[in-house]
Amino acid sequence: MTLTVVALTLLAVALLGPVSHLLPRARWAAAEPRATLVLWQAVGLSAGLAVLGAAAAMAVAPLSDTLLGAFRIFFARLAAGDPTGGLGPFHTVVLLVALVLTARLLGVLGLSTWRTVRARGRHRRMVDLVGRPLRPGPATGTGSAQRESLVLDHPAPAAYCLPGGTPRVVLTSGAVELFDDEELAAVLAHERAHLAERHDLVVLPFAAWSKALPWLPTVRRSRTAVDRLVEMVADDRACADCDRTVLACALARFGAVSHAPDGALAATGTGTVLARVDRLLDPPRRSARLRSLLIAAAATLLVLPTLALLTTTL
Amino acid sequence: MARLGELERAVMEVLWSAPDSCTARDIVAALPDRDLAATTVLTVLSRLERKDLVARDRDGRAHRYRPTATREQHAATLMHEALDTAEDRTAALASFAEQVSAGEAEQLAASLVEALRRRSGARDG
Repeated sequence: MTLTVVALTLLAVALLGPVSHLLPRARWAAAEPRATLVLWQAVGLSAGLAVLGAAAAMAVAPLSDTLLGAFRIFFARLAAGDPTGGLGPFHTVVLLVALVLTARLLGVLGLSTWRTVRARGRHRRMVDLVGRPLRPGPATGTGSAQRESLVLDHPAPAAYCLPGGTPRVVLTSGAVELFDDEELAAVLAHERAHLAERHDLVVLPFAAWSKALPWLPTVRRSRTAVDRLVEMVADDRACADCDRTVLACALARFGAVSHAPDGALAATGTGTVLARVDRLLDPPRRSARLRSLLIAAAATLLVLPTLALLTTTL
Repeated sequence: MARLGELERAVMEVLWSAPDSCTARDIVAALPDRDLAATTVLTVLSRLERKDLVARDRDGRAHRYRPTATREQHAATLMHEALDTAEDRTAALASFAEQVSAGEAEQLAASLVEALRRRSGARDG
């Protein structure tokens, strides 16, 4: 099983090192943001499988040639009353590390999901109470539109969406005043695209793990990259219904007036908004070949660690 | 539940637009749906009180209700929550665009001019 351990370790190092370092810089990502997002999901999942799989394989290696066989023997010995399962102290420690790491990654994801859902629900209930409908309709309609757009009385322009079972798009009165009708429609289309594509779920594991592993710069970098790609996908989808230049106007107008007070937000002034405007005005050429390549790479990344773990010949 | 939510909204609407605190009777009279029982409104008021949205003062034999914060104050709190970049905002809310630096805002103003030019060009052509 040494080969399995070595292969998985190499895969993990490659994914957490050079791949997560280079992928955020890839210029072609802007041409195929959705396929790149798929690749990112595969990178994350594959890296997790590789790290945990390598640790587990290393721990039970003395018991058998295959991972499944080794765990079968391990549990059989546990059941027979041997508290070590037939492992020496070193291998027991490695197994414990693998277990703690697995529990931490899954626990953080679960906790983060629960917190997010709760915070979002609370926010939505308050928005429902305080906000006014964007388009005044019949005062008490029971079958109100599933995706209600609400306006908050606030001078600062802002637009955001609240994903979930009862999604909302929220605008401030400042934003409604800032945009003309066409631009407003484009902004709404952008936010609805986030909701329709469930970008909250796409971002969730990266947000959770960048919080859980703040000392791993690659995790934070991948999270930033995923955030940007999600915005590009929403821009593209919004532009299916409206002119790209209209959304570019809305975005530039929004950015030009809503800048943060000097010094307050140096960390987030990353040029993303400017890059999005440029991308809308001069869209990169789409490439079917790049798309298939990215999907194939994603599939390979998922198959590799799975094969390494399940194979019976190593 | 949806019905209760709508009633809460309607009651808050009345309280926010009233110049002074209101009795339950005032609220029933001001609601568009006049067939509501006073007890229903009292139930809604106690729910709102539990959520700290409404405060109650005793005035002789009656209770007078007033909102704990104005609509604008609530909106400001929500905005703060939505735009708070220190918290993990991206997971909870997807904002149209992140806040930009002053320098980027200047560049965006220039981009806006270009975008507007192309937009009107697209319309004319």
